[in-house]
Amino acid sequence: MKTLMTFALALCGAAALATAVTAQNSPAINFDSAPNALTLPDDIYLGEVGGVATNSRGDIFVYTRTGHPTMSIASARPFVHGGSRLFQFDRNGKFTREIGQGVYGFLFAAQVRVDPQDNLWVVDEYASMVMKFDPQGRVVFLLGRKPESIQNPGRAGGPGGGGEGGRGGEGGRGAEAGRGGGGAQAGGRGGGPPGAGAQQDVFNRPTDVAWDAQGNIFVADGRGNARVAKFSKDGVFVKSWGQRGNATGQFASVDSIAVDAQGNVYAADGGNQRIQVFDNNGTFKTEIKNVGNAQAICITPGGNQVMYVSNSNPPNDLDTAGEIYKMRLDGTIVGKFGRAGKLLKEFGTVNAIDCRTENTLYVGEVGNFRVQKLTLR
Amino acid sequence: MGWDPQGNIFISDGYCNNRVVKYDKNGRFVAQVGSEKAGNKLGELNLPHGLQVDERGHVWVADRTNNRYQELDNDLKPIREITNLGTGWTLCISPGSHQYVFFSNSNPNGNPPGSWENTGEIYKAEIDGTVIGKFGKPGKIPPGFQVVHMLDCRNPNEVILGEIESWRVQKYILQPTPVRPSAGR
Repeated sequence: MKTLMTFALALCGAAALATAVTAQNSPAINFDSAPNALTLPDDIYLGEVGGVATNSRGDIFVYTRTGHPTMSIASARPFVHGGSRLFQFDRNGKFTREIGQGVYGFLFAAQVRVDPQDNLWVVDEYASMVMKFDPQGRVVFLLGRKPESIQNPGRAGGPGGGGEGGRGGEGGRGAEAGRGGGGAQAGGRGGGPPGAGAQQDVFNRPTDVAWDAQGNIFVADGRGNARVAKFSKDGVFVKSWGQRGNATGQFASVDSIAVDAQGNVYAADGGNQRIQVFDNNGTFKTEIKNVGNAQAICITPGGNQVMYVSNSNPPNDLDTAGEIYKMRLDGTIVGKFGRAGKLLKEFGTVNAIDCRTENTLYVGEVGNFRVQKLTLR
Repeated sequence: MGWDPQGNIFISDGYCNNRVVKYDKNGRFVAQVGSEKAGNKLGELNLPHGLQVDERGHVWVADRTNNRYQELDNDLKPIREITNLGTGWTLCISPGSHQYVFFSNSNPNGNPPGSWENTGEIYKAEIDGTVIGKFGKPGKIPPGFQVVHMLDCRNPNEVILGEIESWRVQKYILQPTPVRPSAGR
């Protein structure tokens, strides 16, 4: 009853009351999940789904952790090659092909996104790279560099650039340029305050990528660093902002990112239970705090944009969170749907949402090794 | 690694050791310069990252972390250092009677802000070290460079380079140099 009343009031258009719609009492959105949304050949399986995205033709791309594991030994991270795979499906969900098999930067799937020109952008969390592929599936250019798996002992910059990644302080300053670059190869290449990362495309566990209308690139960087990095469309570093913390402009981690038609940047700061909104140059504008652990966000294209936000449940807990919110860009919740679980219409740690079409969503789950195709009613 | 006209073998060693080693053509140890320890005096090395040998048997070393190159004689005695051509990642010496040296001031990521755009160029020099010119700059899109790691200069007007951070090989055609410095090394 209370839900209905609040919803009715919100529909009346009273802005102050509308914002009173919170995570607890927001209206439910009816939805369905298509059984067998994707069909795979007998010998190919999805693992943990890092990303799912569609292109303008409706083709579906899934970047998934499958095959071989990554492993850690103390602070070193020897990588096993080929831990993640990128699959393409047609608009009916039928498997079409694999892209990038054996490519150097596919280790641990974080995200795949498709830009307005249908280029594929693959974000890999442990390669710490963002890879741009053209629509045919060939590499166009790269941001970041996969760390080498064996540290070089006794090298200048080694301690700073070691297993703790971006925490080192000597990442590169003045005459130390050569050392900073060299030492950093052994691991994350650090500099600046904790989590701030080095300048340029030196990532530490990036999670996501987005673009503005001019093609500028925004990288969510991420879980080792805690910043947003902006590049021109040609990949030239412009600036970065943020560091680890819970103050305004700081992040526990940057788990997902989206840019609206005006160029505002929405950085999901799941660990701080919020989404921070910045203008195109990184000036803080506002925060959205009523959506829980915002691990995956998506803003619809075109006019009248809305945003979907997943309050993703922890991988080991089905009794907490799991629902997805639909909201206006001012943070007003329109409604919510779903809950944590293993069945259709339930979610196991959602890491990706594709919302090219407002009421047809593709949702990628870490916990359930699958993609669901949702129709909102 | 490289070889002199007699077939002696020279190896830059490397990431953990910091030395250049000479073996004869049968693989027997002859000499070394540097040691397991890094240093920055003449004849000391800090990450010798590339090596070439010219027709005279001189050994050229990209002494990366020291931000220089060193020229050694055939017995690995240091002749001089070259400190004005950036961070030595790799170099290439063209064959033939008139040899050229190419030096790559590769642009390692992690350089401080602002310097990134100012590195990455490749210098072409006479064998006496006189710089004839330079080309290239960093960039994600060709013809930009993303940390040149290796050069081939079998034809000194056709340089093929391999890049670490862009997973690609580029081929550069150099226009013939209109004016050459007079002989007289």
